[in-house]
Amino acid sequence: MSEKLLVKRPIYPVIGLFTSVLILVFGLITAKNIECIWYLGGMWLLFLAFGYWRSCLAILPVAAVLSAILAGITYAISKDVQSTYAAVNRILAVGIAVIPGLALSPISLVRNFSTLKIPRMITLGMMITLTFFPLLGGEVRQVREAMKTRGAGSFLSPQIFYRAFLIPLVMRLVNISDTLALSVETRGFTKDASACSVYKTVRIRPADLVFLLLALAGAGLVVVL
Amino acid sequence: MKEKIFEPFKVKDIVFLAIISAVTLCTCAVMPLVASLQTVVFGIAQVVTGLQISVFFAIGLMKIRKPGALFIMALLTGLFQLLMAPPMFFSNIVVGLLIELLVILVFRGYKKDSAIFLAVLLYNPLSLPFNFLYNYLFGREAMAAVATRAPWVTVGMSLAVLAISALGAWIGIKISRELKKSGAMKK
Repeated sequence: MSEKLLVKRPIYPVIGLFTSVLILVFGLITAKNIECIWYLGGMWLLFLAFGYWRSCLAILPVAAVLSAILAGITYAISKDVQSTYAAVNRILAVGIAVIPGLALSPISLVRNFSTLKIPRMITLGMMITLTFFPLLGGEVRQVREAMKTRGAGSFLSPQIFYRAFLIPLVMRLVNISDTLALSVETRGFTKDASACSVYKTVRIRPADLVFLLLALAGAGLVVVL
Repeated sequence: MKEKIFEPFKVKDIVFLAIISAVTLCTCAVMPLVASLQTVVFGIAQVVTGLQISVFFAIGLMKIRKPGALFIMALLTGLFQLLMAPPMFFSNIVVGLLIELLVILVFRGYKKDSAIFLAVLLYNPLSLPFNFLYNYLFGREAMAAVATRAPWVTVGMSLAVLAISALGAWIGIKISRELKKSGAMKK
């Protein structure tokens, strides 16, 4: 997740997550209907209006490429225009549903969960999982560089892949996990929820409620129409 | 002395399980590429993700041998899948709980490697009947119909998922044993 995509004042994180699920569910249910594309377009505009323009623009090329690939595969298999249209809508639904997630900083989500008294085990787990995605790419690159330096051979050979890539990668993961655990513990992060306070509480604002109402109205309209 | 089955999780356990979940999620990123084939070939999603899930879940369980570890990994991967495919979240939770229950009843925890092997072996294949039932009851008709359209393909793909999960579990356990022997992986 790029920091460039983060929004200064994101929608209340839980409402953002709920909207994602809503878009996905209604997008998938109505994928074959002609109104689905209008619903998804409307939701994209809604995010744009609420300041998510960076994520909205970033998702466009990805959604376009994936839609083209999947539309091609679906049409080649089924020879059916309606199935192809539905496949494109499903990809667009997934693409639009991830917009709030792209624009939300992991810490805001964790703060929101902590305010809502969600178990620390889940908030800690989520925070680490979210922040680990960008790190993993770097680790993989380092292991591959080490492979090249050692002249390990082709990445495609199962034996070389196992010995020179998988084992060092898992070893790195274990080491990172040990260091991260130490770091987390020395910063006073415990599993006991009662022993902690939230540095910046995330509060619900009137704009969040307006956003939620509009998202619900959109979902309602696509079903009614 | 009676051996305790349930042990509390430490912060370092959660950190390791979260990292393993993140890696599993990243390696499962190939799944959307076959998403449209799910209505054509039964269990295609499980076939392309089975190996990665099994390898990393086996490594996670080999280090954190506590009842509930598999459920935590399933929950953490599921929470992110909730944004992409809600049925997969529910599948993860139900399958995770079922396997934890089975392992506690049969092996009284993950102390034995065979318990880890069985748990990881069953994790991915068990999502097949769950997904079928879900699609049959609430989901898309085409997703449920694909299982009955060509029964031999369904049986073949189910066996393939089982074989891939077994291979992944074996590789994961092998890696962990090597790392334990070298001292890189401690309890």
